[in-house]
Amino acid sequence: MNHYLIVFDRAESHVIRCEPFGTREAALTARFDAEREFGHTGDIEVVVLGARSPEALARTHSRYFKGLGQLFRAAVPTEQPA
Amino acid sequence: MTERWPPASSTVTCVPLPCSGRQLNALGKRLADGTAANADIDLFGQVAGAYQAVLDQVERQLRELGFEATTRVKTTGTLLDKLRRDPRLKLGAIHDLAGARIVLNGTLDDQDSAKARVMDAFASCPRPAVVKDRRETPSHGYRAVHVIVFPEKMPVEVQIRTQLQNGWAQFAESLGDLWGRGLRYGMGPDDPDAPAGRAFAEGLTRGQVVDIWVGFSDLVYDMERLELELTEVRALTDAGTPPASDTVAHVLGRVRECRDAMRARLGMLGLSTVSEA
Repeated sequence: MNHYLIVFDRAESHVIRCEPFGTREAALTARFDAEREFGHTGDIEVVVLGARSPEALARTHSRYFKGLGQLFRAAVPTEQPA
Repeated sequence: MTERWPPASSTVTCVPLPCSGRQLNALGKRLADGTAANADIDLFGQVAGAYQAVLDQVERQLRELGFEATTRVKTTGTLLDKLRRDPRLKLGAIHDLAGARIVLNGTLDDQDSAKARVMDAFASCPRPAVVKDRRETPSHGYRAVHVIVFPEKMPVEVQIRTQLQNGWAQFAESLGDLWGRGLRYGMGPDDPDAPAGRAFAEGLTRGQVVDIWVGFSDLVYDMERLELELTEVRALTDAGTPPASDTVAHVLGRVRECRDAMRARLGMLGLSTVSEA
Protein backbone atom coordinates (compact mmCIF):
# COMPACT_ATOMS: atom_id res chain seq x y z
CA MET A 1 0.00 0.00 0.00
CA ASN A 2 1.39 3.35 -1.04
CA HIS A 3 0.25 6.73 0.11
CA TYR A 4 0.31 9.42 -2.54
CA LEU A 5 0.49 13.09 -1.76
CA ILE A 6 -1.48 14.98 -4.39
CA VAL A 7 -1.35 18.76 -4.70
CA PHE A 8 -3.94 19.77 -7.25
CA ASP A 9 -4.74 23.16 -8.76
CA ARG A 10 -8.49 23.02 -9.29
CA ALA A 11 -8.77 26.13 -11.42
CA GLU A 12 -6.11 24.89 -13.83
CA SER A 13 -7.05 21.17 -13.58
CA HIS A 14 -3.39 20.54 -13.01
CA VAL A 15 -1.51 18.23 -10.64
CA ILE A 16 1.27 20.28 -9.11
CA ARG A 17 2.70 17.38 -7.15
CA CYS A 18 2.08 13.64 -7.06
CA GLU A 19 4.51 11.89 -4.76
CA PRO A 20 4.35 8.34 -3.39
CA PHE A 21 5.32 7.55 0.19
CA GLY A 22 5.91 4.13 1.67
CA THR A 23 4.33 4.95 5.01
CA ARG A 24 1.22 6.84 6.00
CA GLU A 25 3.17 8.78 8.61
CA ALA A 26 5.57 10.20 6.02
CA ALA A 27 2.69 10.99 3.67
CA LEU A 28 0.69 12.80 6.34
CA THR A 29 3.74 14.80 7.39
CA ALA A 30 4.17 15.79 3.75
CA ARG A 31 0.45 16.67 3.54
CA PHE A 32 0.60 19.12 6.41
CA ASP A 33 3.88 20.55 5.11
CA ALA A 34 2.19 21.07 1.73
CA GLU A 35 -0.81 22.71 3.40
CA ARG A 36 1.54 25.17 5.03
CA GLU A 37 3.24 25.75 1.67
CA PHE A 38 0.11 26.10 -0.48
CA GLY A 39 -2.64 26.81 2.06
CA HIS A 40 -5.73 24.67 2.30
CA THR A 41 -8.32 27.04 0.96
CA GLY A 42 -8.94 28.45 -2.46
CA ASP A 43 -7.99 26.62 -5.60
CA ILE A 44 -5.25 24.39 -4.24
CA GLU A 45 -6.27 20.97 -2.93
CA VAL A 46 -3.85 18.95 -0.80
CA VAL A 47 -4.75 15.34 -0.16
CA VAL A 48 -3.17 12.00 0.66
CA LEU A 49 -4.64 9.02 -1.18
CA GLY A 50 -3.91 5.42 -0.27
CA ALA A 51 -3.68 3.02 -3.20
CA ARG A 52 -2.03 -0.22 -4.23
CA SER A 53 -0.98 1.25 -7.57
CA PRO A 54 -1.09 4.45 -9.61
CA GLU A 55 -3.61 2.67 -11.87
CA ALA A 56 -5.98 2.18 -8.94
CA LEU A 57 -5.63 5.84 -8.12
CA ALA A 58 -6.38 6.88 -11.69
CA ARG A 59 -9.46 4.66 -11.72
CA THR A 60 -11.12 5.99 -8.56
CA HIS A 61 -9.88 9.60 -8.68
CA SER A 62 -9.59 10.29 -12.39
CA ARG A 63 -10.47 13.98 -12.12
CA TYR A 64 -6.95 14.65 -10.90
CA PHE A 65 -5.39 13.06 -13.94
CA LYS A 66 -7.71 13.59 -16.91
CA GLY A 67 -8.99 16.56 -18.82
CA LEU A 68 -12.65 17.44 -19.12
CA GLY A 69 -12.97 15.71 -22.49
CA GLN A 70 -11.46 12.44 -21.25
CA LEU A 71 -13.64 12.51 -18.16
CA PHE A 72 -16.68 13.09 -20.33
CA ARG A 73 -15.93 10.16 -22.60
CA ALA A 74 -15.45 7.90 -19.56
CA ALA A 75 -18.79 9.02 -18.17
CA VAL A 76 -20.85 8.23 -21.24
CA PRO A 77 -22.00 4.61 -21.68
CA THR A 78 -20.50 2.90 -24.67
CA GLU A 79 -23.08 1.66 -27.12
CA GLN A 80 -23.27 -2.10 -27.32
CA PRO A 81 -25.50 -4.16 -29.55
CA ALA A 82 -28.60 -5.16 -27.62
CA MET B 1 -17.36 -17.45 3.98
CA THR B 2 -16.85 -13.71 4.19
CA GLU B 3 -13.72 -12.59 5.98
CA ARG B 4 -14.73 -10.58 9.01
CA TRP B 5 -13.13 -7.58 10.68
CA PRO B 6 -10.28 -7.38 11.67
CA PRO B 7 -8.52 -8.52 8.51
CA ALA B 8 -6.67 -11.80 8.98
CA SER B 9 -3.62 -10.64 7.06
CA SER B 10 -3.33 -7.44 9.04
CA THR B 11 0.11 -6.28 10.02
CA VAL B 12 -1.04 -2.70 10.43
CA THR B 13 -1.64 -1.49 13.94
CA CYS B 14 -4.55 0.82 14.50
CA VAL B 15 -3.78 4.03 16.30
CA PRO B 16 -6.25 5.16 18.93
CA LEU B 17 -7.68 8.64 18.67
CA PRO B 18 -5.45 10.99 20.65
CA CYS B 19 -8.36 12.62 22.47
CA SER B 20 -11.87 12.00 23.75
CA GLY B 21 -14.97 12.51 21.66
CA ARG B 22 -15.74 15.72 23.51
CA GLN B 23 -12.22 17.04 22.88
CA LEU B 24 -12.50 16.04 19.23
CA ASN B 25 -15.70 18.04 18.83
CA ALA B 26 -14.19 21.04 20.59
CA LEU B 27 -11.22 20.82 18.23
CA GLY B 28 -13.59 20.85 15.26
CA LYS B 29 -15.25 23.99 16.59
CA ARG B 30 -11.92 25.79 16.99
CA LEU B 31 -10.80 24.74 13.51
CA ALA B 32 -14.07 25.97 12.01
CA ASP B 33 -14.19 29.34 13.73
CA GLY B 34 -10.51 30.08 13.10
CA THR B 35 -9.39 30.08 16.75
CA ALA B 36 -7.22 26.96 16.47
CA ALA B 37 -3.80 27.30 18.08
CA ASN B 38 -0.66 25.54 16.90
CA ALA B 39 -1.34 22.76 19.41
CA ASP B 40 -4.74 22.25 17.77
CA ILE B 41 -3.15 21.89 14.37
CA ASP B 42 -0.80 19.28 15.83
CA LEU B 43 -3.73 17.49 17.44
CA PHE B 44 -5.62 17.48 14.15
CA GLY B 45 -2.55 15.91 12.54
CA GLN B 46 -2.68 13.13 15.13
CA VAL B 47 -6.40 12.67 14.52
CA ALA B 48 -5.78 12.41 10.78
CA GLY B 49 -3.07 9.84 11.52
CA ALA B 50 -5.48 7.73 13.56
CA TYR B 51 -8.08 7.84 10.80
CA GLN B 52 -5.48 7.01 8.14
CA ALA B 53 -4.34 4.03 10.23
CA VAL B 54 -7.83 2.62 10.47
CA LEU B 55 -8.30 3.30 6.76
CA ASP B 56 -5.24 1.20 5.99
CA GLN B 57 -6.88 -1.64 7.92
CA VAL B 58 -10.19 -1.14 6.10
CA GLU B 59 -8.41 -1.24 2.75
CA ARG B 60 -6.81 -4.52 3.77
CA GLN B 61 -10.17 -5.93 4.76
CA LEU B 62 -11.72 -4.85 1.47
CA ARG B 63 -8.84 -6.42 -0.43
CA GLU B 64 -9.47 -9.70 1.35
CA LEU B 65 -13.02 -9.47 0.03
CA GLY B 66 -11.61 -9.07 -3.47
CA PHE B 67 -12.16 -5.33 -3.85
CA GLU B 68 -9.50 -2.85 -4.92
CA ALA B 69 -10.12 0.25 -2.86
CA THR B 70 -8.37 3.56 -2.54
CA THR B 71 -8.56 5.66 0.59
CA ARG B 72 -8.32 9.23 1.78
CA VAL B 73 -8.70 11.30 4.90
CA LYS B 74 -10.78 14.35 4.03
CA THR B 75 -8.79 17.37 3.00
CA THR B 76 -8.53 20.13 5.56
CA GLY B 77 -10.20 22.56 3.17
CA THR B 78 -13.29 20.46 2.54
CA LEU B 79 -13.51 19.54 6.22
CA LEU B 80 -13.54 23.21 7.22
CA ASP B 81 -16.10 23.95 4.50
CA LYS B 82 -18.33 21.23 5.90
CA LEU B 83 -18.02 22.37 9.52
CA ARG B 84 -18.68 25.97 8.53
CA ARG B 85 -21.71 25.14 6.38
CA ASP B 86 -23.39 23.57 9.39
CA PRO B 87 -22.14 24.98 12.72
CA ARG B 88 -24.13 22.32 14.61
CA LEU B 89 -22.09 19.57 12.98
CA LYS B 90 -19.60 17.89 15.31
CA LEU B 91 -16.21 16.71 14.08
CA GLY B 92 -16.67 13.29 15.66
CA ALA B 93 -19.99 12.84 13.87
CA ILE B 94 -18.64 13.44 10.37
CA HIS B 95 -18.99 10.09 8.64
CA ASP B 96 -16.81 10.83 5.66
CA LEU B 97 -13.74 12.16 7.45
CA ALA B 98 -12.19 8.84 6.44
CA GLY B 99 -13.28 7.32 3.16
CA ALA B 100 -12.55 4.34 0.96
CA ARG B 101 -13.72 4.11 -2.65
CA ILE B 102 -14.45 1.05 -4.74
CA VAL B 103 -15.31 1.35 -8.43
CA LEU B 104 -16.96 -1.82 -9.67
CA ASN B 105 -16.67 -3.19 -13.14
CA GLY B 106 -20.21 -4.46 -12.87
CA THR B 107 -23.93 -3.87 -12.69
CA LEU B 108 -26.35 -2.49 -10.12
CA ASP B 109 -26.84 -6.07 -8.92
CA ASP B 110 -23.09 -6.37 -8.40
CA GLN B 111 -23.27 -3.15 -6.43
CA ASP B 112 -25.97 -4.64 -4.18
CA SER B 113 -23.84 -7.72 -3.70
CA ALA B 114 -20.78 -5.63 -2.82
CA LYS B 115 -22.82 -3.64 -0.31
CA ALA B 116 -23.99 -6.82 1.41
CA ARG B 117 -20.48 -8.25 1.56
CA VAL B 118 -19.02 -5.07 3.03
CA MET B 119 -21.76 -4.92 5.65
CA ASP B 120 -21.17 -8.54 6.56
CA ALA B 121 -17.41 -8.11 6.78
CA PHE B 122 -17.78 -5.29 9.31
CA ALA B 123 -20.69 -6.82 11.23
CA SER B 124 -18.53 -7.47 14.28
CA CYS B 125 -17.66 -3.78 14.72
CA PRO B 126 -18.89 -1.94 17.83
CA ARG B 127 -21.65 -0.24 15.82
CA PRO B 128 -23.68 -1.68 12.96
CA ALA B 129 -22.98 -0.41 9.48
CA VAL B 130 -25.21 2.32 8.06
CA VAL B 131 -26.16 2.26 4.39
CA LYS B 132 -26.82 5.38 2.35
CA ASP B 133 -28.18 4.25 -0.99
CA ARG B 134 -28.14 7.28 -3.27
CA ARG B 135 -29.32 5.53 -6.42
CA GLU B 136 -33.09 6.05 -6.24
CA THR B 137 -32.73 9.40 -4.50
CA PRO B 138 -29.50 10.94 -5.80
CA SER B 139 -27.81 13.93 -4.23
CA HIS B 140 -27.84 16.61 -6.95
CA GLY B 141 -27.31 13.90 -9.54
CA TYR B 142 -24.69 11.99 -7.55
CA ARG B 143 -25.45 8.29 -7.34
CA ALA B 144 -23.59 5.64 -5.36
CA VAL B 145 -24.00 3.33 -2.40
CA HIS B 146 -22.19 4.39 0.74
CA VAL B 147 -21.67 1.97 3.61
CA ILE B 148 -20.50 3.61 6.81
CA VAL B 149 -18.66 1.12 8.99
CA PHE B 150 -17.28 1.65 12.49
CA PRO B 151 -14.00 -0.21 13.02
CA GLU B 152 -12.22 0.88 16.20
CA LYS B 153 -15.33 3.04 16.88
CA MET B 154 -14.29 5.40 14.09
CA PRO B 155 -16.65 5.98 11.17
CA VAL B 156 -15.29 5.08 7.76
CA GLU B 157 -17.35 5.72 4.66
CA VAL B 158 -16.97 3.01 2.01
CA GLN B 159 -18.16 4.41 -1.30
CA ILE B 160 -19.25 1.74 -3.75
CA ARG B 161 -19.77 3.05 -7.28
CA THR B 162 -20.32 1.49 -10.65
CA GLN B 163 -18.02 2.69 -13.40
CA LEU B 164 -20.76 4.85 -14.87
CA GLN B 165 -21.67 6.37 -11.51
CA ASN B 166 -18.01 7.13 -10.91
CA GLY B 167 -17.61 8.59 -14.39
CA TRP B 168 -20.59 10.87 -13.81
CA ALA B 169 -19.20 11.96 -10.42
CA GLN B 170 -15.68 12.63 -11.71
CA PHE B 171 -16.98 14.90 -14.46
CA ALA B 172 -19.32 16.68 -12.03
CA GLU B 173 -16.47 17.21 -9.57
CA SER B 174 -14.31 18.55 -12.35
CA LEU B 175 -17.02 21.10 -13.17
CA GLY B 176 -17.01 21.95 -9.46
CA ASP B 177 -13.27 22.52 -9.59
CA LEU B 178 -13.79 25.03 -12.37
CA TRP B 179 -17.04 26.69 -11.30
CA GLY B 180 -17.14 26.39 -7.52
CA ARG B 181 -17.38 23.49 -5.14
CA GLY B 182 -20.86 24.54 -4.08
CA LEU B 183 -21.91 22.40 -7.03
CA ARG B 184 -21.36 19.33 -4.86
CA TYR B 185 -23.92 20.58 -2.41
CA GLY B 186 -26.59 21.68 -4.83
CA MET B 187 -25.74 25.37 -4.59
CA GLY B 188 -25.14 25.64 -8.31
CA PRO B 189 -22.09 27.07 -10.02
CA ASP B 190 -20.51 30.40 -9.15
CA ASP B 191 -21.88 33.01 -11.56
CA PRO B 192 -24.45 30.61 -13.10
CA ASP B 193 -25.37 32.97 -15.94
CA ALA B 194 -21.77 33.24 -17.14
CA PRO B 195 -20.97 31.53 -20.44
CA ALA B 196 -19.91 27.93 -19.94
CA GLY B 197 -16.97 28.50 -22.21
CA ARG B 198 -15.82 27.43 -25.62
CA ALA B 199 -15.60 23.76 -24.64
CA PHE B 200 -19.40 23.65 -24.63
CA ALA B 201 -22.10 24.47 -27.14
CA GLU B 202 -22.22 28.15 -27.99
CA GLY B 203 -24.56 30.18 -25.81
CA LEU B 204 -24.73 27.71 -22.95
CA THR B 205 -24.37 29.08 -19.45
CA ARG B 206 -22.70 27.33 -16.56
CA GLY B 207 -26.07 26.85 -14.88
CA GLN B 208 -27.49 25.22 -17.99
CA VAL B 209 -24.53 22.84 -18.29
CA VAL B 210 -24.96 21.76 -14.69
CA ASP B 211 -28.72 21.23 -15.13
CA ILE B 212 -28.10 19.12 -18.23
CA TRP B 213 -25.47 17.03 -16.44
CA VAL B 214 -27.69 16.45 -13.41
CA GLY B 215 -30.45 15.31 -15.77
CA PHE B 216 -28.01 13.04 -17.57
CA SER B 217 -27.50 11.15 -14.29
CA ASP B 218 -31.14 10.00 -14.45
CA LEU B 219 -30.61 8.64 -17.95
CA VAL B 220 -27.46 6.80 -16.92
CA TYR B 221 -29.40 5.22 -14.07
CA ASP B 222 -32.20 4.25 -16.46
CA MET B 223 -29.62 2.62 -18.72
CA GLU B 224 -28.03 0.73 -15.84
CA ARG B 225 -31.44 -0.65 -14.85
CA LEU B 226 -32.21 -1.59 -18.43
CA GLU B 227 -28.89 -3.43 -18.55
CA LEU B 228 -30.21 -5.65 -15.75
CA GLU B 229 -33.31 -6.42 -17.79
CA LEU B 230 -31.19 -7.19 -20.84
CA THR B 231 -29.01 -9.49 -18.75
CA GLU B 232 -32.09 -11.35 -17.64
CA VAL B 233 -33.33 -11.66 -21.22
CA ARG B 234 -29.94 -13.04 -22.30
CA ALA B 235 -29.84 -15.49 -19.38
CA LEU B 236 -33.30 -16.82 -20.18
CA THR B 237 -32.39 -17.12 -23.84
CA ASP B 238 -29.15 -18.93 -23.02
CA ALA B 239 -31.10 -21.30 -20.76
CA GLY B 240 -33.37 -22.22 -23.64
CA THR B 241 -36.41 -20.46 -22.16
CA PRO B 242 -36.43 -17.13 -23.98
CA PRO B 243 -39.04 -14.57 -22.96
CA ALA B 244 -41.93 -13.76 -25.31
CA SER B 245 -40.83 -11.82 -28.36
CA ASP B 246 -42.98 -8.83 -27.48
CA THR B 247 -41.30 -8.67 -24.05
CA VAL B 248 -37.87 -8.61 -25.69
CA ALA B 249 -39.02 -6.00 -28.21
CA HIS B 250 -40.35 -3.85 -25.36
CA VAL B 251 -37.03 -3.93 -23.50
CA LEU B 252 -35.04 -3.22 -26.64
CA GLY B 253 -37.37 -0.36 -27.49
CA ARG B 254 -36.79 1.21 -24.09
CA VAL B 255 -33.05 0.82 -24.55
CA ARG B 256 -33.27 2.67 -27.87
CA GLU B 257 -35.40 5.41 -26.30
CA CYS B 258 -32.90 5.82 -23.49
CA ARG B 259 -29.97 6.00 -25.89
CA ASP B 260 -31.80 8.58 -28.00
CA ALA B 261 -32.52 10.67 -24.90
CA MET B 262 -28.85 10.45 -23.92
CA ARG B 263 -27.70 11.53 -27.36
CA ALA B 264 -30.13 14.46 -27.31
CA ARG B 265 -28.93 15.62 -23.92
CA LEU B 266 -25.27 15.26 -24.81
CA GLY B 267 -25.97 17.11 -28.04
CA MET B 268 -27.22 20.02 -25.96
CA LEU B 269 -23.85 20.16 -24.22
CA GLY B 270 -21.90 20.08 -27.45
CA LEU B 271 -19.18 18.20 -25.67
CA SER B 272 -17.85 16.55 -28.76
CA THR B 273 -15.88 19.74 -29.12
CA VAL B 274 -14.38 19.59 -25.65
CA SER B 275 -10.67 20.07 -25.83
CA GLU B 276 -8.31 18.28 -23.51
CA ALA B 277 -7.39 20.27 -20.45
